Amino acid sequence: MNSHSNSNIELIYNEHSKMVYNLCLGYLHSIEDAEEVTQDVFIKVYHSISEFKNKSSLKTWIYRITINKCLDFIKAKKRLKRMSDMVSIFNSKNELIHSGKNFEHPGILLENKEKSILLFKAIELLPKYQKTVFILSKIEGLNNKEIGEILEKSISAVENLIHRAKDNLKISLSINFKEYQKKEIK
Amino acid sequence: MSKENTIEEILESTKDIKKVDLNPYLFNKILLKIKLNKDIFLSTNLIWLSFSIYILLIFCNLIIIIKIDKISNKNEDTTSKYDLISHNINYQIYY
Repeated sequence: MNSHSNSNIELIYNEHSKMVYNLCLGYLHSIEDAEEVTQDVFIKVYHSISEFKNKSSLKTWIYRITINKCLDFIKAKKRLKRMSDMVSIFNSKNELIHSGKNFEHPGILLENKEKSILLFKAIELLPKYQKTVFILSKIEGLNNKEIGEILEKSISAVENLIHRAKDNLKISLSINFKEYQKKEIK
Repeated sequence: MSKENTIEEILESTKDIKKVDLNPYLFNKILLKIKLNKDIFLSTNLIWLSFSIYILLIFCNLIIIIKIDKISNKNEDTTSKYDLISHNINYQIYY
């Protein structure tokens, strides 16, 4: 590792690390997992920077890497959970890998904490494209054009995905509405 | 408050979300991982190159096996003829 590539990665890290970490948090709902995937993203950037051909902006390219890494991480974790479920059939002493804890995003305003827990639970159930578009739009605050560039989709396709994501979220939130009401009463 | 309004509020609960700061030691961890992984990291080009060499080797082996098979078949033909002749020589009936 030479000092030139070291300083390059440091520059990229200083500029984009916050964006990468927050996007990971939006996907993974765990500080430890978000840190792990953030590391993986910058290792990937370090090794693949020579393959970056300026067809898109560096930010867009890093966004794509982050999204792919997060989706891969979720897939791997689901696979691991399935395995542990299989093992737990035979051995009841095994603990579950996913504890299913409520995720409190550290950046959410205090008055919105309770509501956001429900929202993050519902986001987890969305299909991957709808999830990505919703996170990029509502958590990252990107506009539809920027999202379209990242996902290589038209603006109308992005709008359609956001609309479908909202519809699906409304359905799953209305199912959990009673649970929320009970908490509110308490 | 109606159900619809509450759901709308839940959907808007990420509004004004603040960007979270990272662990200050994360960059050092990344550098360390890069240093450790450097020796075992394979670029995609290298993986494709080794894969194509592997396929080429299998292809060459197949060609050689087929050729050897053909040659041995030819040899078998000649030996069987020879066997027939020798058989005739050895076991021919003289009147």
